[in-house]
Amino acid sequence: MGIKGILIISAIMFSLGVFGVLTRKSALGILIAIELMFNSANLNFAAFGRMLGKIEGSIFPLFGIAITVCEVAVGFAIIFYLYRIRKTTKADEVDILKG
Amino acid sequence: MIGIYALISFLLPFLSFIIIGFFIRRYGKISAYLSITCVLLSLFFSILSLIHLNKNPGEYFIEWLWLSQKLFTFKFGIWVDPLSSAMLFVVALVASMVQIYSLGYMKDETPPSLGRYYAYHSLFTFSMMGLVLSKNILELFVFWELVGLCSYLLIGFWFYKPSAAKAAVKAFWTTRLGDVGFMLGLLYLYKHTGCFELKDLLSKAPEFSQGIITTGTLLLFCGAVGKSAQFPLHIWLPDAMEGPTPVSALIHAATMVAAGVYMVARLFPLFSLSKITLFIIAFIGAFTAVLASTMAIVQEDIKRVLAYSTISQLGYMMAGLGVGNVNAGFFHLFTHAYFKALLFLCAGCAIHAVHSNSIWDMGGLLKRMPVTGFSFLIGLLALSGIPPFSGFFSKEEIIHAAYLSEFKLPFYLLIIGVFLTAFYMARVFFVAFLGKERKEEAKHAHEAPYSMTIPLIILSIFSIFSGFYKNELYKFLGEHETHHSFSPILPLLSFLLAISGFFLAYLYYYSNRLSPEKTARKIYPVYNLVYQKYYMDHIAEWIYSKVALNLSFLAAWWDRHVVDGTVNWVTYTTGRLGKNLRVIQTGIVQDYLVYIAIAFIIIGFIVFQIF
Repeated sequence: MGIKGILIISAIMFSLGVFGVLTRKSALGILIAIELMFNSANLNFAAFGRMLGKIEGSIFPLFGIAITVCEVAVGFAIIFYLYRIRKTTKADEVDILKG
Repeated sequence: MIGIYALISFLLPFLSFIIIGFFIRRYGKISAYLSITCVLLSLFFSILSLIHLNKNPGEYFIEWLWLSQKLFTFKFGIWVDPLSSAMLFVVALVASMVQIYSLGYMKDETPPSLGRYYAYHSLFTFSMMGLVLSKNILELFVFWELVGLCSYLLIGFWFYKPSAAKAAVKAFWTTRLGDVGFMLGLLYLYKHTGCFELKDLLSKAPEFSQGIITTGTLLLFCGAVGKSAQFPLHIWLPDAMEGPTPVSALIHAATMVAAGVYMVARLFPLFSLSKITLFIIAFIGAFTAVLASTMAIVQEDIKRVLAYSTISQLGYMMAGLGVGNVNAGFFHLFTHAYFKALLFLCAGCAIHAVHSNSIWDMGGLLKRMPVTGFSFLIGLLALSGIPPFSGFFSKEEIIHAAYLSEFKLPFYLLIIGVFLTAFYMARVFFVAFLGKERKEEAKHAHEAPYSMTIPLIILSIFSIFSGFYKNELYKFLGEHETHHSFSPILPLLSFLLAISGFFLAYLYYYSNRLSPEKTARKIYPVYNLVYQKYYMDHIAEWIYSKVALNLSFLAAWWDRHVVDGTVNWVTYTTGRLGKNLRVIQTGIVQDYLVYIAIAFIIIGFIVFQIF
């Protein structure tokens, strides 16, 4: 499987992520879909790193994963707090920004 | 020192206005006494300034800077010269007499309303003195408007009477119409000459071109036409009779209507440079003099007769100015102030006694009210120009000046006016003061209290003797040579005309040899025309209700639909847009993400120029 195949997989993952973010009702689902998009980007880094024979391409996803962990932690904290004040984690039920 | 005296005299009424208006209005009697004290002190100081000015002739200024801009500086101040100081004295004298008289006349008013009355009176006196003393045409305009405001307030003093409220508004509007001309005139003169100072305006006047002077002075004269009730803006003055009688006396004698004549006299060196303006002034003045006297003949309300006679006498003054003799015009203003105030105050006493304005409800009042009756007689003789009363001298001056002038028409009109004046005044006297009592109330009429009769006596003395001081006044005003070539024909002619006017009135209204009703029926069309005041009121009403009102409707339409419409359209569109756009603000995070995604894609397309 050449780089083309990996990029196609990455693109599919990203699209699924976008789709998930835009369609999932659950806030947790949205968070997971965001992870999917993140990982498609990491996959791209790794793929290009290997193709160009550079070590940076493999190291960068490690940083990416670390950042993702932090982001997930913050995301969960927000969702917990949301649950505490609104008794729900459904994203479409929270519309206090409605104009 | 002279300036200081005049300044004190000018500020005292203002002080009393402030105190009464802001603090003690509720206490009517105290307000009245305060106001009278102030105006009497003011009279005292004006006499002081007059005496000192007579000793040391000259011109005195007091001024302070009000406004200093790059374009122009505006100094506020007073200018005391013989003309203004003589006028100051007249204003103070008449105002103080009227205020004392009002003590008796207005005694039935409630205290707050009496306080209001005296507050207005003080403001009125102050404004008129300001007008007289102003050294700056802009300042003159300010006081000019203040005088108009005060007369509005006082004519509408009994504002709960619809007729009084209407008359006040009418007076205000009509004079405003002239004031617009006045304002345009002063702006026009400023634009072309660059000075607001009266003194500069007068001294620089010969340098200006003829066209500028004619236009400017004619515009200024519009203001005088409105204020001094000249044809065609005289319609407000008879209606102004709705105010209390002392107010009428004040308005007619020294304050409101004198303002126009005074302004022309003040700016006379400027006016005299334009032949056209002078001709128009002389003609309008003489025409008004005759027109108003004819209307006075058919009036039944004693105050209205006097009102028309004021219009007519103002016409004489204007004619005197117009034929180029400023001192004659001012002299007549001077004497007229006394006898017209006197006549009005007498009329007030008569009205007070019989509780009616109509002369047909009076009758035989001379027996019952001797002081009032004889004072009225003195005023009447002065007004009709019978020697040796004051009116004779001043009117003679005007007629003589008209005779000498190059325009002949005013002279003939004025001569006719003498006859008519004598006739209508004698008519009032014969009907109201002689003859038999026609009404029960006239039988029980009794003399007014001292507060009312003493001003009458003082004014009577002035009415008799002020004419003898013609030469002194002329000398004081700076004219050294008096007319020595005084031909005896003219005085004799006008004397005979006045006497024949009396005689005709005697035949009609006293001896009953001739019947006024029959004559009226015989010349009914003429009678009706005069009785309807030449339909001037109808014309004015038509102009107002048809032309002015429709114009203002047009303006209102333009304002409401075009000006407001534009503004409303902008707000409406903005609101509509917001309403439509607010639909996308769902509050759901995912919708916003969709927008972000779409926007991102579009931006991506644009950045990478895929289309």
